[in-house]
Amino acid sequence: MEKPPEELTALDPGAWLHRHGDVLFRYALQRVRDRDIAEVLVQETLLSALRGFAEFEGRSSERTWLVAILRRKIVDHFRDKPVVETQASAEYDCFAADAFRSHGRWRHAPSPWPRDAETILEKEEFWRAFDACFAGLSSPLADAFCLCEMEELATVDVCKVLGVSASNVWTRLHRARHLLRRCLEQTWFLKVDGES
Amino acid sequence: MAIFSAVRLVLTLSCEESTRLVSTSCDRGLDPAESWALRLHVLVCRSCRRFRRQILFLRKAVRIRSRTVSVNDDFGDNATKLSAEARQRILQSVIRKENDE
Repeated sequence: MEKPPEELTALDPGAWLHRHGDVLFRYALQRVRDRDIAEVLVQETLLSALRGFAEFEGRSSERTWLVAILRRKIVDHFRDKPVVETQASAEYDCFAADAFRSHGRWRHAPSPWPRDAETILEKEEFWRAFDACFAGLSSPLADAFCLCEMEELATVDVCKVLGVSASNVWTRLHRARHLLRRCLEQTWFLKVDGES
Repeated sequence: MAIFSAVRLVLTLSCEESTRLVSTSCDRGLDPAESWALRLHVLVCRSCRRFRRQILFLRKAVRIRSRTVSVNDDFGDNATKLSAEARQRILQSVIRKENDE
């Protein structure tokens, strides 16, 4: 299918949805991990775009403009969620009890990953495995990881959005990294290695 | 006193604590004692060296992907696309809310 040229940008949410709907939806879905919420965020993005169209001066592409609006909607979504103070997570406790012996020595140490791991960046299957691992995290861990690592907000801003302290955010990130690393090792790196 | 606690950190750092320092290095940076403790630990611990390499790699990968996702058009399967019904719902809702103004 041929894409319409970008300069055709006009006040037309139907056309925006047609041209960018899937990209916006996927962007939101990866981050909020809920189809209904992602759909509402796309809808709110189009509404904001419609109302703020006067400010769009064509300095960026239509898609960049829409994604920028969506990113604000995503942060708003996390801000509106009820504050979860606790950093306790059964998933991590369970993981740590398995991964480490007493005195903090590895019981199940990280396995080596293939040398050509760099090539995964272009592999769609890898990112599908990543999204599945990310979808398995509890909200406190995933939300902090999304804001810090995907949206690249500064810690001080993440603290404001989630309503928790910096050390709380850092603990969540640390746990999310451990769990994601192990999940990818099990569902991707060791599998790929075994097949080849 | 500071030197004493720094030396103690270097000598007693466990693998679990060293993984925590890897995260800390990503989020706020390490103070000199932490930095030396982690450096010496990964020098002698292959598992933690591997852990650090993998965590830093994943971090970089996630950031690269997040910055470029909006230009990939036909990436993803139907599970990550909007259904025709969802498109309809979105459009109707946008039009209705706009007319409510």
